Amino acid sequence: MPRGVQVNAGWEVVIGLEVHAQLATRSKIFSGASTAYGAEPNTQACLVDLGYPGVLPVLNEEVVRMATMFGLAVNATVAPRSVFARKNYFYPDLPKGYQISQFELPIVEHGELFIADADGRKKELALRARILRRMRANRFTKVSTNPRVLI
Amino acid sequence: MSDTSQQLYAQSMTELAAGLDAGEFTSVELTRSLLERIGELDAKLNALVTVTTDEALAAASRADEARATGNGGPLSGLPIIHKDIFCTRGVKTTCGSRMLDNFISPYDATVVEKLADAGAVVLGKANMDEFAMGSSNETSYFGPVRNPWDLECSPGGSSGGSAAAVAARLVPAATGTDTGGSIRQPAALTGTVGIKPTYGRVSRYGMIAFASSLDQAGLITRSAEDAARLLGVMAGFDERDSTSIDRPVPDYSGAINEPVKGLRVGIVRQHFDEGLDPQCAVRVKEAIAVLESLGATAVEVDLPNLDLSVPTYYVVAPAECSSNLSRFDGVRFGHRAENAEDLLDLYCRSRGEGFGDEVKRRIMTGTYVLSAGYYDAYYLKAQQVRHLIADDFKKAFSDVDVIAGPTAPSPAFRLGEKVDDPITMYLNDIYTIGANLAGLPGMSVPCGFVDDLPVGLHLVGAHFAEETLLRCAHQYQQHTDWHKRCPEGFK
Repeated sequence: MPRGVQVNAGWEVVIGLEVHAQLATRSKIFSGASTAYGAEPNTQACLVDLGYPGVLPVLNEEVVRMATMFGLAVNATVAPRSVFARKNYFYPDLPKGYQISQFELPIVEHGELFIADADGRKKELALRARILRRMRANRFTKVSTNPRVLI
Repeated sequence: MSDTSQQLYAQSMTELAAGLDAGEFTSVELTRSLLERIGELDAKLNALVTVTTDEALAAASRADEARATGNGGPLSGLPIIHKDIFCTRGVKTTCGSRMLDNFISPYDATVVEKLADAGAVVLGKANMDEFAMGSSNETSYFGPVRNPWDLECSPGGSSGGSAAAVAARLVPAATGTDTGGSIRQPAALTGTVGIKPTYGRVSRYGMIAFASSLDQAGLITRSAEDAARLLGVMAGFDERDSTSIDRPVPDYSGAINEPVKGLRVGIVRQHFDEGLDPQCAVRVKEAIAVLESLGATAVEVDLPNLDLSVPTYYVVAPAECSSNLSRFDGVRFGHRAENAEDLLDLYCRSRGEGFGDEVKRRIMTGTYVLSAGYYDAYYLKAQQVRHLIADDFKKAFSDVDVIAGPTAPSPAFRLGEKVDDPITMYLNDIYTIGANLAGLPGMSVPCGFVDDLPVGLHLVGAHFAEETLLRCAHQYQQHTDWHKRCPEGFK
C-alpha cells in the first residue's frame, strides 16, 4: 500500500480505466478514406470526414465485424441491435459539431478479462478485472497523424 | 422571341422530348430560349439564385451530340433547375443562406449526378427558404420569391423558387425537397404538381440536411406524367446514403396509364374541420368527385392523432436541425466573421451573422428539447407520438389505396402577412406534415382556383405507393386542365 493512502475497513478500491483500442481496418469507420499510418497530413481526409454540407456517414462493415470478434474474445454480450448517437459540442477539430458515438445500445457490453499480477507465481493474488463494460465506437475526425479507427 | 420558342416554354417534358426526338429543335435552341425567358421574366419572381448559362449550353451541346449518335439518356437535352439545397460541383450552393453565400460545392449530390447522367440540362439553382426552414420563401437571404399568379403573394416554401419557376414556365421541371410540406405546399400555391416520395426512395446524399429523419428529395413539374418520367431517374438505392432503400424502381411512366377504377380513396373527416378555407374545401371535394366519376370509391377514414402532427414536427425537426447545422461554425467553409477575438467569438459571430432569424429560432428550440432534463419530456415524447401518427396511417391504408384531401388550408397568402407570426405560418403545413412523420409518399395536384389563386389536391399513399399517387394524379389530369392554366403575364 503506497504511503499516505488509507483504505477503511469495509471499503474496496475499484478503479475504472477507459482504454481506447484501435481496430485495424483499412478505411475509416464512416468513410472510405484510408487509415494507412504515416501518410502526409491531410491526404487521407475525404468530404465525409471534413463534414461538408450534404455528406452522409456510411458505417464500415469491417468495424462491426472486428468489434464483434473482440466482444466474443472477451466473453461479452454482443448486441443484436446497436445504436449510434450524436454527441454535440463545438470544437475546432470536430468538423460537424458532433461525434457519432454510442450511448444507450453499444455493440458490445459486459466483457471480462482475467489477469495475473507481475509475479504470476502468486496465484492467490491473481486479479479478476472486468475491463469492459461498454464499448464505444467513437469517430475521431481530427486530422491526426494516426487516423485509425478507435473504439 | 420567335414563335417556336414561345411554344417551347409552354411544353411539358414529354412534349419537349418528342420534339427533340423528331429533330424539330435542338437542345441548344431549347436551352437558349429558356435562358432568354429567365433573363426576361425572373426579375419579377426572384425564383433563381444562380443562372448557369455556360454550363447549361455546354450540357445542351453534349446532349445534342449524344442524341445525334444515338447515345442520349432518358432526359437527354431536357431542361431542369435544382433547388439550391442540392450540392452542385463548381457552382454556388447557398441553401438560401448568408452562411453559404460564398460556398462552391466540390461535389455533386446523387440526385444532381443521376439527372445529369440521364442527359438533363441544368439551367440554374432555385431560391428557397433559408436551410429549407419556412413555408413562404420569405426567410431566404436572397429575398422572397413572388407567386406568378399574384406577385404580391408568396409562392409557399421552402421550395418556392422551384415552384414559381415551373408555374411561370421558366422551366418545365425543378427538383425540390420536402421535410414538412416544402414541395407540396408551394406546388399547391402555384398550381403545379409536387411529389415527395417515400422516405428512402431517393438518395439524400449531397442534399444539405435540415431534419435527417424527415427530409426527402422530390420534384415540381406541371404534369404527373413529367413527374413520373423524372422520378424514374432520381429514385433508387445509393450506397452513400444508408437510409436509401435497396428496392427496384418501378416503371412509373407505364404505371400512370392504369385506370383508377376500383381504387379506394380515403377521405379524412378531420381535414374538412375548421381551419380549412371553405372555398378550398369545395375545390378539393370537386376533385374527389372527379376521381369517383372515374370509378374510384370514396371511403371515410380516421386519423385521430392528426392534430398532434404540427407540434410533434416542431419538436423533431428543430432538434435534428440544431445538430445538423452545427457544422456551420465559420471554420472550414461558409461565412466566417472577421477579426474574431477568440474561438468562442468566432463561433458566435460567424453563426450570429450567417444565420437568419427563423434558423436561429429553430436551432434554439432544438437545442432546448435535446438538452439534459428535457430530452425525455420533449424529444422522446415527440418520437412516441410520431409512432402513433404512423400507426394511424397504417390502419387507414389497410382499408384504402390513397388518402385525398387539401394540401394547404388556404390559397396563396400575401407576402408579409404571416412572416411575423411563426405559429400561423407553421399551421400552413398541417395537412402535409403527417406524411413526413410517417415517411409516406405525398403529392399535390392542381385542382382549381379560389379568387384566381390555385388550390391543390393532396394525395398520400402507403410506403412505396408512388405509382398509385402518380396514376391517380395522371388520370385526374387526363380529365381536367387546371395544370395547363398559365398565369397572366407569363403566357
